[in-house]
Amino acid sequence: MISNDLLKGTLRTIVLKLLKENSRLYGYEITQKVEELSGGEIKLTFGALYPVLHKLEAEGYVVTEKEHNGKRVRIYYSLTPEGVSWAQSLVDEFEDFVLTMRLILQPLPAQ
Amino acid sequence: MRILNDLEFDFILDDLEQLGVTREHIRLELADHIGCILEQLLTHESDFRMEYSKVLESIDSSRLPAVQRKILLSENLKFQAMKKTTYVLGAISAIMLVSGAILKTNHIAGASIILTIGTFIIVMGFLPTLFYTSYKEEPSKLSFAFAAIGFIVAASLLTGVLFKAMHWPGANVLLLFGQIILVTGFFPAYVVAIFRNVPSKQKIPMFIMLVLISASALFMISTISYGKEFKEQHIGRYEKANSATNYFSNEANALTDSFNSSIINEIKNRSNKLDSILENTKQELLKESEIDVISVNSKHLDSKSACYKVMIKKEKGALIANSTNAYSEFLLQSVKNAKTKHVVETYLGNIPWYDNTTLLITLVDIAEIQRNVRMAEYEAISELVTAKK
Repeated sequence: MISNDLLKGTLRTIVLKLLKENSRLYGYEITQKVEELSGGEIKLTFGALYPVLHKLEAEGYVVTEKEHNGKRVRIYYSLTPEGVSWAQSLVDEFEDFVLTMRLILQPLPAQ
Repeated sequence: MRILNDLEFDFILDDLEQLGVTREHIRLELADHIGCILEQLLTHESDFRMEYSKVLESIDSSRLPAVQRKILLSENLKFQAMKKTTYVLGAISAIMLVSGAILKTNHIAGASIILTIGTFIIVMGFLPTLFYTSYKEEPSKLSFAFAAIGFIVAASLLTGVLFKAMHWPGANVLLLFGQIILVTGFFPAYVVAIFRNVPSKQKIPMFIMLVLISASALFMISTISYGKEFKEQHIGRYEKANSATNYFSNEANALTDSFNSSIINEIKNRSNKLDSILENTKQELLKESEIDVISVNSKHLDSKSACYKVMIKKEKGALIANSTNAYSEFLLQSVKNAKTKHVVETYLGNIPWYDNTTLLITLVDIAEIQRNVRMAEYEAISELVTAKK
């Protein structure tokens, strides 16, 4: 199970990447996709997810769309054009970071 | 799995409101999320309420109000900007305090202003925003008390330390006030807050650690003053200067005993008069500081209070500077030899105005001026006596 500290710094990147690859998603759907793609290693709680989603909306990177089904309201999230370009830059930045960490953490060659 | 019906969904909505999710848009979203979880677990034979209770337990429903608060704060861009500002203010003030401390230690100009501005930023900018944002994220009576008391303690202690470093009046009052509130207010509140979240096994070691840290911090604060080595070094200089003053005065007297010259007598009179001004100022400073004999254990050596009263308010600083400069000019006119003139200029150079220094430094400066006056007097009289022979 991935630690919360590591997850905290990457949650935005994860959410934006998923929204970039899917036209729109709702909250529960995002948690299910993350769990599926991570092989069960990352289980997002709504306490972690929804503040990130609402902050992204306040910052203008995502927009919401409500769908009513009787009394039930489902809120779908999708990226704005700014969100799309920012998602790509965050993903690129994180991939560079992972590469750098691999270089640092790789075992030393045997002498 | 089965889909929830409207009645069941209404039940979830009402229950979430009872559990503290008071904002409708958040309640609707969380209800949909919980509904999705339930729908995966429910079958046509399941008991809805039983499964719902299990789901609530798994998500720790007591945290729901905190989740709502976190969502509301994340939507509030002004609050987010305030949090970022807190970090920036903290970084700036930390850099200023460290730089100011380094400059102060090396007696480089600008230290005072940097330390003052750094402390101002911490007390009026960083601390209020830090405590406000912390309180907003976990609002409760305890966290409000914690934030308010924490601010008062930190502001008093930091301001007290600045005042102590700058030798401004009121430092001890601020430090004492801060220490009292730290011990009687902040520390108990902190212990309660910590102990609520600490597993039982760790409570006693944690308590002992907190007591030791607080005691160390209090002790450290109470010892801010000149170090022993610094005092010994400067008292040594003071005593050597006094000793040299007496020596050169006696030597000059020995020279003048055998010569009766109006110019030599004039030099002697003026130097005695100047020495008297310097000696009286020293005694006045010691009296004002309630010190009989200066030593390493004397109090107020790092204080500027007596110096302010004597050197500034009574204008003794200006009197010393003017009198010494006038004496120097007189001596330079009285001697003919270029080498003697150079020596007089070296000793009496251009005596600076008093510069808001502490008692110890001021006493050393005055003692060294006294020594230089007697040394210049001796050089001048030596030349005049040699010329007459």
